[in-house]
Amino acid sequence: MGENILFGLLQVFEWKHLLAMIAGVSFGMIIGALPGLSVPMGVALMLPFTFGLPPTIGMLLLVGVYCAGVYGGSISAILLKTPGTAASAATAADGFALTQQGKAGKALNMALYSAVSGGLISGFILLLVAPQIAKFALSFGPPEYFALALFGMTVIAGVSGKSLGKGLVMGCFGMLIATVGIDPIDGVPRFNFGTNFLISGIDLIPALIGLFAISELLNQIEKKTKALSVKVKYEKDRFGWSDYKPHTKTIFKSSLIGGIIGAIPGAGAAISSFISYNEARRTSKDPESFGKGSLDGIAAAVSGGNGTTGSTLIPMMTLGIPGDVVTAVLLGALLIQGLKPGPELFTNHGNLVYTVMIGVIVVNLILFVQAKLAIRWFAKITQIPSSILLPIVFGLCLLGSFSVTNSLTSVGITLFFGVLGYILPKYGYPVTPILIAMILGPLAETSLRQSLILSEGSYLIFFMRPIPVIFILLIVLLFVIPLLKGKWGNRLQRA
Amino acid sequence: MNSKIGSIVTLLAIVSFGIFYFWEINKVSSTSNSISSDFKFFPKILFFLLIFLCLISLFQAIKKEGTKIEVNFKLLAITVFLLVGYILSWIFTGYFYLLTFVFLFILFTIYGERGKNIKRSIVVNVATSVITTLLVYSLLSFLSVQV
Repeated sequence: MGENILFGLLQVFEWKHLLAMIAGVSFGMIIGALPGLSVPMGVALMLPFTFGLPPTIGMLLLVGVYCAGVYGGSISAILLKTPGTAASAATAADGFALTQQGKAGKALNMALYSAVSGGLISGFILLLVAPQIAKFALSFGPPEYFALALFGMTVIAGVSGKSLGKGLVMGCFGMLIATVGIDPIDGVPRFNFGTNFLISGIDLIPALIGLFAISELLNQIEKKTKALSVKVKYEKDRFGWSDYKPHTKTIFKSSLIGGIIGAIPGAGAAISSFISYNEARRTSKDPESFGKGSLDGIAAAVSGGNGTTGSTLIPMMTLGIPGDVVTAVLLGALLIQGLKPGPELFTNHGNLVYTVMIGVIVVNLILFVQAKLAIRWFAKITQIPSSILLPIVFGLCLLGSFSVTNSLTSVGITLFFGVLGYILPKYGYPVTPILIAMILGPLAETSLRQSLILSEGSYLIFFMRPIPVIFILLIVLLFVIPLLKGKWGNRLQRA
Repeated sequence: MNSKIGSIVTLLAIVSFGIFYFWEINKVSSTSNSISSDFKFFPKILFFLLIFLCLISLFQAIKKEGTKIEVNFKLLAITVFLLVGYILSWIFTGYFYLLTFVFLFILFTIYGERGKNIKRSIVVNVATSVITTLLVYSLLSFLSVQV
């Protein structure tokens, strides 16, 4: 492990890797800061352009977009009270209150210091924990992988919100889509309807660009979002150790909360940010100031959100299950590069894994430098008119999906999924389960059939080994708790 | 459309997709005598699961009261129409860069605010379209993508 870390450290400081991280951080900050453009959208948008790059460069670029994007969300939350990401919603009240008091610089600096602290702690958690889990997962056979794939599907419960039933329908629909193409064991073409372009299955990149980028653009167009005409006054504010020191305890605690929550599939930055904010308010000597311009509130929410950025990569890299939407997209990036996420990634591509893990730490340092230099320009970024922005992003989306296979079929798939991603949520159907199922579907099918071949058709194989049993119990728990919570909640409300 | 009707229509569309899927998989003959190792095995499980989940959701949707969902279709319809038009003209003419410029210019114009200085808007939109098209060109050249 020591050797790998050293190798990763040397690799990450190569100029091409540094350049990729710098580019990713710049792009991520802009995407995060622009209201209406989300982090998954930013990562999905960049994904096709990493296709032709070596895997390490591509992954570092995307990690840069991810970490900086989560931080970027707090910029518009502070300056415009419009959270750029769901995770930055908790930052909006305190941040904007400070902006109104003429302390936007202080709020932005606090957000930056907290984001970087959270990201660094999370990066170290990733570096320490991930190799141990990967080592443990090396003993997994097909039954364990099947149980794991099902466990990964529990993320659906987390991302479906109140409509778990609809989320499951979407998950099942996504699995059906994943079966299109050549069957993984017998090599028989399925559901290609006599066409050639469906034989290799439905490409992940065009689908996810459609689901997360085109759909988002259509939503913005429907709202006819105009240029944000709010004029924000930014005055240079000194910010140093003396400003940071009173909040170190909150930042450390919130970063740890983020580190733990991020590693749980389905939880993610938004949940962590709100839990950290509530925890800081609960333990604060001055809880009344929260929501009215508390720097401690900003520190808790931002470090809680960015504290997940490294740890969400733990289940993705070690077990091949996406922790949230962004990691589902990142997982897609690995698959597209021909790399199979999971314990084998650590044994077969150890160099890449350690470079990326150390990259998470370095990305946060780059984010600090870049954001510190760009902080005075943030107010301008948030005012880019949507009439200019939306067509450019549209063009990039279509171009990105085209460049995957050099064919217009991919563009058609993008548009199909884009319309789907726009219509379905309107009626309460979440689209993230489609992507999660498309990623986990092939793993679930292959491991299920391999297990049944091994056991000569007996389903007892899943109950005779300890790891699948543990996963099955966890699955039951994770699906039953939200259902019971809903029922109890309703009863309590009625009472 | 009412959220209740929308929800039911969506579920019915998914069920129809599932039935079509089931019919399609049954057209192909099996590769194995064992049910579990056959390539139809997993899709069939998914089909029954999908129908089961859809029925539950359908039951819930019928019980639930609907709310009116307002959608501003005008601009959306224009955008989708333009997108399809752009792709079709790309297929038939092959003038990718010219079409990209025209497509972007139209989008910049229809998304922009009306009532402003028209001459200035046109100049800004043309300039932005040219710059974006050049950006697309350099990006595609960098990625060695043939259009």
